[in-house]
Amino acid sequence: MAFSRWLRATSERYLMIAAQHKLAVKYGVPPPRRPRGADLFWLRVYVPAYRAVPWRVRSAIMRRMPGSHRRTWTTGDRSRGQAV
Amino acid sequence: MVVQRIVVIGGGAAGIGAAGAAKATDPGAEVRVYTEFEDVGYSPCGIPYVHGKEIPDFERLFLATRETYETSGIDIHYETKVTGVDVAGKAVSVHGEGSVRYDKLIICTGFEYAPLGVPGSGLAGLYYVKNIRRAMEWDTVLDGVKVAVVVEASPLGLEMVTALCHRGIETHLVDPDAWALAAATDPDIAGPVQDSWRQMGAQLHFNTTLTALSGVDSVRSVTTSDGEIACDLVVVCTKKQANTTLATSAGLKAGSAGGLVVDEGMLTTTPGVWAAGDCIEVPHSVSQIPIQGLSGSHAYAQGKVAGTNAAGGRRAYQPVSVPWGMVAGEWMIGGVSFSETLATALAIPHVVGVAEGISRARYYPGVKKIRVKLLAEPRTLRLIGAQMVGAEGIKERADFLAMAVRTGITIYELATMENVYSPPIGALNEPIALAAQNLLSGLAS
Repeated sequence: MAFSRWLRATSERYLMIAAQHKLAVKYGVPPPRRPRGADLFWLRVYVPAYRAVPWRVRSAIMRRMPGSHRRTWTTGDRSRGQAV
Repeated sequence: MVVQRIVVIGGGAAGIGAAGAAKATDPGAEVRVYTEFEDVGYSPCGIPYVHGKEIPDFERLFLATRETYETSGIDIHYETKVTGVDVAGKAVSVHGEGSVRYDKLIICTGFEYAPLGVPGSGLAGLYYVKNIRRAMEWDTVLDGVKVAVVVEASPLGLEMVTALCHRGIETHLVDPDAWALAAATDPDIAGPVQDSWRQMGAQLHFNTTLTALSGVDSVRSVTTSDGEIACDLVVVCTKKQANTTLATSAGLKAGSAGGLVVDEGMLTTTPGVWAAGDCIEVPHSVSQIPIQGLSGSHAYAQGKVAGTNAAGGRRAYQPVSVPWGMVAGEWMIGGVSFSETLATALAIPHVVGVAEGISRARYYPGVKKIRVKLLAEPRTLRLIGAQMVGAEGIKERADFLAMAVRTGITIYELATMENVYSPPIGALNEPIALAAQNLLSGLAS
């Protein structure tokens, strides 16, 4: 697996777990399991660090990763620009 | 006149869409499709509903016969595996046929289920829903199954849990997330579905990891982080991963979502080679980040674009907003673009508006509740996502909201939208407008 793919998959996994914690509290449902082992690093170091960076910076970094988005794509309504 | 040969690898929705579009664009072209399977031109998405007995037989899932394709000039090579691609020599290696030259190549190799990665994964009794012939065989097996375990609450997992419950099979759902379809839905949307599954007899094991499968030849139990479940059958519904082995071996590039890199014309990183369907990744219309593993309608539309362009025409695909919807348990759920969970995960700034409305006039028989949740970008209030649960009218709203996301519609516009009012099909107040109005009220207060 390419590094960019591994990083994205792993990052998404822990960001989703952290989000499930937040939403579980908000909606009163059982939260994900307590983190253990390597989970601790990702949930207690990586996720807060990710959230601390402004979205526009994070978005710009993500868009620099290799992928289809870096090739030619015409959006439907260019006049309104990017939504987020 | 020189006749161009267009070779399509894969006979799923993307492959057949590509072949048809190529032939329509250049009727003189030789269009050849290679598929490993016995059939093309059927709807695999209908398989869970045959298992659940909502559809009486598998024959109804076939959309066209072999003769239909022969008549239309598409040469399909069934049960024929392509083993290699030589992009420099413009040839594919075909089992039983040797090296076959092409002028244009379209790769539609689809997906594979993410491996379970636990001991016992090689046992018999593991059902991967994909091929209709195997589904027919498994349908007979289901007649004798008393207990089944569905692994992961993916879209297919939701459909299979519902189908197996309809079939009267004791069904266990094992999923590592906190609620069903957690990557696409929120707990308030999944909640009613989960309640209805429990009423149907399903046993739900969320926050639970599969650790092993046990049995002598065939699976007889699954071991999870919460204990052991005896079973006769395991239905594997893990994430769909792009099947890019053939393409990447030939030098085509894959992106961070794991799918082949393409442009709006479905052209890959290699000239003369297009790709479409579950083996590619395409940008999300809001985030512009590439995503992979979409629906059959996306695959078919992408195939049409790839086929048209490969044959010499001009057609472009758009970044996707991913409207989705399904029947799960006794409910319909659906949405578009970001859920509250996903927006929270990515830490995308957003505001939320929720409303509970009704699907018909309040006095009309069969009226049902609909919960609508809208997500908007806080500064402009442009719609960036939606979630819905109800008993009818979900698909149409998801399609509408996908266009709203794509075209940059704001919450202000949705709050003042006009709507159809007709007692049997629509209430006085549209739930989407109510959710938008609630969002604005929340901001004002």
